[in-house]
Amino acid sequence: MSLPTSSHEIRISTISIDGRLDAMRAVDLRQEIDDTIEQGVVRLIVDLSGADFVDSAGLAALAKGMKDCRGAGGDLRVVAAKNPDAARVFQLTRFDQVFRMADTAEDLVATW
Amino acid sequence: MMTTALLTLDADYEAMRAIGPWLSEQVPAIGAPHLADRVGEFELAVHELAVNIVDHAFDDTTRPSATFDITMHCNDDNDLVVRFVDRGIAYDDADKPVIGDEPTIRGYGLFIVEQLAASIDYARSDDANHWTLVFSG
Repeated sequence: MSLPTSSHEIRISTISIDGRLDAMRAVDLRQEIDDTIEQGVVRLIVDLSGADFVDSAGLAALAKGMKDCRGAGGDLRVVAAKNPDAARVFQLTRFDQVFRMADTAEDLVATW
Repeated sequence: MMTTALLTLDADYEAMRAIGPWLSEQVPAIGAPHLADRVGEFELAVHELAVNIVDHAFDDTTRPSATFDITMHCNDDNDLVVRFVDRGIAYDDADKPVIGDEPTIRGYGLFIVEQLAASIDYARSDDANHWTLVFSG
């Protein structure tokens, strides 16, 4: 006798940011997040492990993305920056307590 | 003898990327080698105030040809003093967003500057905006 089974596929997209996430690059990130959500993927990971600078415009792009993903039933989670100059803006604004953050993308996927 | 470093920037986001290298090079050169390991925090504050000037002191008509100056020196107390002068629209404090406990999306620029600098002063004179940041030495 076979037992009924079902499977659920969860799609998670990862966007990696190396170098600077500043006012100039935040525009591109916003567009990439919008495009991904439009494609029906509402679970996003933004990997900042290779970022060396993040400003308030970059933070705003992430926060808007998180709001949009959560509004669509998903979430935007963040791989923490290793560089203290990139991590600083999260601590100063306390957004490190707003985003779900981890040191690796695998850790974030595992808890989804 | 006081040494002052000057940086003139175009009023666009790309130009802001010159701030970090300028600080790295000039902080030791102006007699503040004791502050060299804090260039990362200075960069964030100076960058945020500069972006605020780009966004609010100029409009789409004036921005393409606009520039503004940043100078810095080390004072007698070994503090780092950074001054900004732009000939744009006067800053209106009423435009400043209120940051509360609830996370908001925009308006963190000056909030971040206030967290990093020991003091932040603004004055309007000679048809120009004058901002001064002081970072404790």
